[in-house]
Amino acid sequence: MTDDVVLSVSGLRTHFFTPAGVVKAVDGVNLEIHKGRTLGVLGESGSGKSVTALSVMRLVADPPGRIVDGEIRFDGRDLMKLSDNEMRDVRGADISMIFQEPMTSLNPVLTVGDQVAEVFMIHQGKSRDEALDAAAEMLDQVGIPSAKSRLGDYPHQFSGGMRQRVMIAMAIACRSKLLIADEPTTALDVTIQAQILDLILSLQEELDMAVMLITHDLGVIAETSDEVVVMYAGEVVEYLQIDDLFENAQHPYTQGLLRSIPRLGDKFTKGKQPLQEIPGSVPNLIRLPPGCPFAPRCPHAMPKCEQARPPMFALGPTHGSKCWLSEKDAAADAEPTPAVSAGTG
Amino acid sequence: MAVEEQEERSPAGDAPVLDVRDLKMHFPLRAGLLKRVANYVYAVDGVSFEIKPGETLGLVGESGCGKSTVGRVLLKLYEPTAGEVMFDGRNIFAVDEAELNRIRQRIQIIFQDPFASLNPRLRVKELVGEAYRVHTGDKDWEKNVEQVLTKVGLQPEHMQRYPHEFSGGQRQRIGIARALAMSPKLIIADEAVSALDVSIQAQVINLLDSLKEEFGFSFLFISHDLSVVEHIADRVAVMYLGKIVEMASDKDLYQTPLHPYTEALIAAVPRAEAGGRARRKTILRGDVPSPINPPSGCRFHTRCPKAMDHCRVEEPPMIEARPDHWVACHLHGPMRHD
Amino acid sequence: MTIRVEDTSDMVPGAGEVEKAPSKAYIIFRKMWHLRLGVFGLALMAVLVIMALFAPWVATHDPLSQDILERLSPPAFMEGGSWEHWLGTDQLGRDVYSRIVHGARISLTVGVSAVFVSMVIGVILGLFAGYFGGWIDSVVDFSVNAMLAFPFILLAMTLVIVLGASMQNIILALGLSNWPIFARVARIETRKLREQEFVIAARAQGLNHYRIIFKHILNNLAAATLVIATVEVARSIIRETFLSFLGLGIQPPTPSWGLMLAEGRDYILTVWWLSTLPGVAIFLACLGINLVGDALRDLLDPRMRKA
Repeated sequence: MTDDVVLSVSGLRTHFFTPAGVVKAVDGVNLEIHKGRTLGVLGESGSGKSVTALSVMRLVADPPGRIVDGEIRFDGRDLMKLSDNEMRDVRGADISMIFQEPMTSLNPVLTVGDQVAEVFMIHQGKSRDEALDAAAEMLDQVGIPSAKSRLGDYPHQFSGGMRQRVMIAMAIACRSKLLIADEPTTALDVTIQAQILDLILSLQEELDMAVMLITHDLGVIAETSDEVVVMYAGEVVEYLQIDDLFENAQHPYTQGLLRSIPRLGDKFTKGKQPLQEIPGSVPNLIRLPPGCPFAPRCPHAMPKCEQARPPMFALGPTHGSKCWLSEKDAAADAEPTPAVSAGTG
Repeated sequence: MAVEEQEERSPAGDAPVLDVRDLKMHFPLRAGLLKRVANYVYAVDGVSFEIKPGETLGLVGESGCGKSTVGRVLLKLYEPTAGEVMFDGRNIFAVDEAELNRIRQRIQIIFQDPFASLNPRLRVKELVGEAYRVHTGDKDWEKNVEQVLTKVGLQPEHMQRYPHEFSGGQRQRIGIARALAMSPKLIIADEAVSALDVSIQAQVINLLDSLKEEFGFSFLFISHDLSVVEHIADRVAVMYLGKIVEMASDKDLYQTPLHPYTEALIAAVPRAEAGGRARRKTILRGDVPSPINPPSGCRFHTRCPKAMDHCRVEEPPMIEARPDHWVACHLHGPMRHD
Repeated sequence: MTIRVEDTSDMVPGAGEVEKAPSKAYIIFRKMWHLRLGVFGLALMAVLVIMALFAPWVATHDPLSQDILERLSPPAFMEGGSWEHWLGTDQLGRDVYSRIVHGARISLTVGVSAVFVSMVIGVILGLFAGYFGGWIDSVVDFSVNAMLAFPFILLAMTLVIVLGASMQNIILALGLSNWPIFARVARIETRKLREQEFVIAARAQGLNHYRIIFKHILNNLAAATLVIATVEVARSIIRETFLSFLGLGIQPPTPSWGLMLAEGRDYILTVWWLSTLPGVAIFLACLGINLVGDALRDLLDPRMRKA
């Protein structure tokens, strides 16, 4: 069960050193992603979900950011120990990434064909003509109509959804083992979002690729993920299987998120009720409280919560929660598990 | 709740607060050295609706459908191409500048971006109180600011601060306070919660709901988020490429949509429920066509799974297919003449 | 990717008190270090301003009193120099140091006043052009381009010749020929600001155009304008020297740096310090002002302010 782990991150800490103080954007994150499966990373802005992804790619802007601690094991190698050159080979070939804003991630003055072909020229040493052929094939695979004739077009001639398809084509060009998608559909309309999510999932099946899908949208998580980690203030506060997310979430933050969103149909089946709010707002990452970072907003906060930061309590082989309330439910001998385990189902 | 809606222009019940008739907003596209008008963006192309006192109308659609333009052109923030907007018995497009500014006090907008819509160089006191002070000349205007700030969940001592000292959710509360300060009859919320984090979104939605309850203003809630609109609206209009394609009570529209586009939109919303991955399927293929060259006939025919031949040629009229359920689709129209 | 560092501690009870924030002094030190060139510039500028404000006390001699016996004596650090006239004397035996000190007053007055004149004209024209567009915009835009196409010095010279050479007229000439740079920036910024949501929000609130222009837009122009104004003060100082050097500026015997340069020109091969010393003064003054302008740009940039 452990040999199909594609990526395992443990004890990751990425801090940003600003004149106002040290921003602990990621502060002790553990997670695991398995071959052919999707890990959903759920969090709001400032939760550290994007910085986690950038850290895995070792693309955190330095200065002001720095990975101060942690291990990132990918395919048996510790990425933290690779030289810059070796890391460059990993990026785009073994791990690829797509971003929220497909306009700014494409170079506006180069043709789309050249940009996709470049991936093949760099990572597979193909000649320009071969690479352009391969690019056309790739664009066709991601569903761009009459791909060959559009190689000479520039990014602005594509719609938002089509640009995201181009980004995906570049990302999967080298059959990478892991695709990191950071809010890939947030900038897109709902009907286009559905198309892009479908594309990612069908490519994942076809290529047996692991996907790390970062989003703030519970609906997107529900329709794409196998396992889920919930992040808050730079930490993973809960990890669990997708089915558990909706039936058996234990951390008060996860529960709060689930209750705070309006859901289609609820108004007519249950009558109109106010949404359940999570009071307050995300804490300042420079001056985090010593206890649980969620305690100031938590409806169940106890005196203990403000004094000591809870460890991850294992609630089962695939479920853990960083909350003192879970202490009594945790298996008596359970060590704080560093990672999400694979569900076999 | 019973929705007694009368789409005809002579309503039997309360007179509408806002009555929009055949509104058009075509933005000219200039090209060449002489900047001649080469083409138009048909952002809003013949939109009619009304809002009753105390009613919330949701306006949904994807980006580029013209929903935000409707919200702005209503207040003549752009020079409209055609149409009438009746508010309080006057046509907003026909009054002079001074009268327009008086009307604008009674219609307030809450914007999407709580960072861009607040002047970074003004204190909260000024942001919220300026229009009230200027229009009423009230010496005690700071009292009014204090009151509305309290209403939106901020404290009076926040008056002296600048917008950058607040988080996104708090800024949106400032924007709401600014709208509330004028005791408006109608509030237009343009994607007012879309830029907020999930946990903050719920706070602001609840706030808007309770303020509406307390002050009884009418509400035009413009959003791309179908779940939020369902939660907050009494009646919903769906826009596609500059036109309203369907309009009905909240329940009718979501439970028994008539237009294929409405159906597809609702189906595309990712559900936060277990078993989602198995349920995934794409309903609509292709992109939204450009509003510069909208398709002939029914504008949706290029993506419509149920398109028929004459959909390409003939534009479907808006008809009342069921009581108070309006739709512009040949599937539900009076039979065509071929 | 954005890292949000917002202080929301007031919303979260108990969040503010736990871990101590870095001390104010430390934060100020970090900022100063970041802007160390600006701090250096500020020091230079402070010297300049003190010299200008307190010229009679800072100077050691009357800048106008001549002493033929002491003419062309070298500075103290050279052979034959004396501490009585530590920067030497000029061809009429006037104390060079005292003339430089008094010249600072002239330069700064001319520089600041000229920039003020062009700023007022330029910003107002730019605001109206950018906000209203249409024919106002076309006229302003054309004038700006026409003015910028005209060699600056020719324009200023013509104005001085027409108006007559006096300090007021030099200020007027420099001010009237330099407004396009402010107009252009104000116009472009105003056009951007006009489309900003907060301006649209102000219109939606029923506020009239003049209130929107002079309250909501003008205060957002302040930062950009201030940065340009600083740099333009330095440029105006140089331009004043240039005019004075050509004999079209400050008239002798008033001590002006440009005039001193011109007067030293005849002796450049033998008594080189005579024109070099005012040259150094011009250089240091303008360097100081430019460094401060640069630092201001950093400070006023909202992205920098967050950090």
